[in-house]
Amino acid sequence: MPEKPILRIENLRKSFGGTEIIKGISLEVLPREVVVIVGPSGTGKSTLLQCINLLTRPTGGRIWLADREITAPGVNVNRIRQRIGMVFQEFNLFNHLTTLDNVTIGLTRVLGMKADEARRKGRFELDRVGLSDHADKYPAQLSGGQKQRVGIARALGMDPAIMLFDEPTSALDPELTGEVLNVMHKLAREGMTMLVVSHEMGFAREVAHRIVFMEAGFIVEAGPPQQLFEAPRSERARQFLSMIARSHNGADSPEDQRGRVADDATRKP
Amino acid sequence: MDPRLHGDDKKPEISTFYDSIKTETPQEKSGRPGQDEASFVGASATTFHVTHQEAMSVLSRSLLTVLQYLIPGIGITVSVTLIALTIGLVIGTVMAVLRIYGGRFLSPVAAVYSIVVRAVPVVVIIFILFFVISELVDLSPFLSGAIALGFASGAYQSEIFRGAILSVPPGQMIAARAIGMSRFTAIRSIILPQAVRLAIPAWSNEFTLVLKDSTLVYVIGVPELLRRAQWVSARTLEPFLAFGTAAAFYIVFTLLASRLLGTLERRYKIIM
Ligand SMILES: Nc1ncnc2c1ncn2[C@@H]1O[C@H](COP(=O)(O)OP(=O)(O)O)[C@@H](O)[C@H]1O
Ligand SMILES: [Mg+2]
Repeated sequence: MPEKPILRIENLRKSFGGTEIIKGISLEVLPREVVVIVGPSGTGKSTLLQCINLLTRPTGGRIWLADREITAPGVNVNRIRQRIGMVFQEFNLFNHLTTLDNVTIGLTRVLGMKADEARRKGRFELDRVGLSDHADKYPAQLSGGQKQRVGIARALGMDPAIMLFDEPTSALDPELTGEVLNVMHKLAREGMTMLVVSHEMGFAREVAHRIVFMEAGFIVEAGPPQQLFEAPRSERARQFLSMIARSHNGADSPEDQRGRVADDATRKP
Repeated sequence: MDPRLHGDDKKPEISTFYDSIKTETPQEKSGRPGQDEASFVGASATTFHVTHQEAMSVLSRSLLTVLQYLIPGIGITVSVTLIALTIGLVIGTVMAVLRIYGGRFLSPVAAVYSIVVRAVPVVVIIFILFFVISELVDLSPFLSGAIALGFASGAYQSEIFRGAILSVPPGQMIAARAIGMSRFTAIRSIILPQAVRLAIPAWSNEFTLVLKDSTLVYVIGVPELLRRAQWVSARTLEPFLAFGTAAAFYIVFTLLASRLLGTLERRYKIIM
């Protein structure tokens, strides 16, 4: 694709104290592309996302958002963050605000939108994530899946150039992940550019254009889902992905089957 | 027995009693305690030696006197308390925010304020502010006392709000910054509204403490409730009536305030 990337990361490094967590990462995300990052925990995936929207300052390397180098000195970080949507594992909804106000507060307080215009836009975004009936509820009154969808609507309200998702379904009960993944799937179809940290293999297979396997602060391997899942080049990627696949299947099938067999046995006269 | 205690003879006594109160009041306001009470002890003491019936009527008259005397003090006590709490709320909020978000220079300033002010007895602060401020500007003892109490309460309230701000989950600030909010806007629109809700129970307690500390402004001659209770106790020689009525007022005011704050707490309850 000859298109210019929306996000370009060049040799990014990040250390906490003396420990280097991100050890030189380069990555490009094209417009409308969905990139899924996978990798063991503690590898620096969250740190990478936080560097991208400058929630933590990189210690080395450069990042561009479209044509703008956001790591350049003197850049207004608040302006940059408005254009980068972020969805958190723990939702981080504003607890004292209703669902609708969670979406509108950024519009009024950051973008300076008029209250009624912001409400209209807020309702539109809630509708987009299927929550228009819950506009007046508080976060404490919502299920985890609903909370995360509000988190997505809040980020969408700012009309971001790219959306970052940090394990958006990891804090959810298994039966609630579907509604969040469906919303993300829909966003992808609408052409939203997305960088997603997730171990939801079904979603990655179906929605991602590219999978990035990260380990210990490096990108070990990247490629289309087909390639990474069916024929990974690196041994580490193969091991990790098969482990994930096993733990995801292992959760229901064998246990369920045994349960059913036992049930049948007891029911015999 | 004193002939004045019988029948009609009593009326003139009461009327002179009221007259004296009226003439005494301006003198009292100048803040010179002691001398005026003594002049009444003799006259009022006689009201103890009376028949049962008369005692009742004297008691109800005394109650009337007590109320008449205390009511202006209630206004002063309430005003001092509310002014002090408001000043303390502003100082406390600002100091708590500076303490947490003020960085290398402002955070220690806020810490020192809190430590020093809490270490000094409130009466000392009242005296210092009264004598220092009256050197600089012409401020009434009432305002000077209220400001001193507010200044003291600000230190305690800064600790209340500091605790409340720290118990707002850190994800709230991160999420606010992530949508492009400035730090200032995030503190004002996201952190403080939640901290204030979390602070209500501790703040209710501070309310009662400031109400009780408001008695201390009598040291600079402000005729608040307790001060007036002292006067009228000396006059009627009914200390229980005088101080009991004052105590009842403090209880009522505290109960009203806790109810109001309890309602606010329930209305703004957020489950984190
Ligand atoms: N603010 C921080 N200070 C110090 N160490 C941190 C900080 N944030 C993350 N780390 C460390 O960086 C490493 C990578 O963390 P993280 O990016 O959260 O990994 P992942 O999201 O892949 O699980 C971890 O070892 C973690 O302890
Ligand atoms: Mg993480």
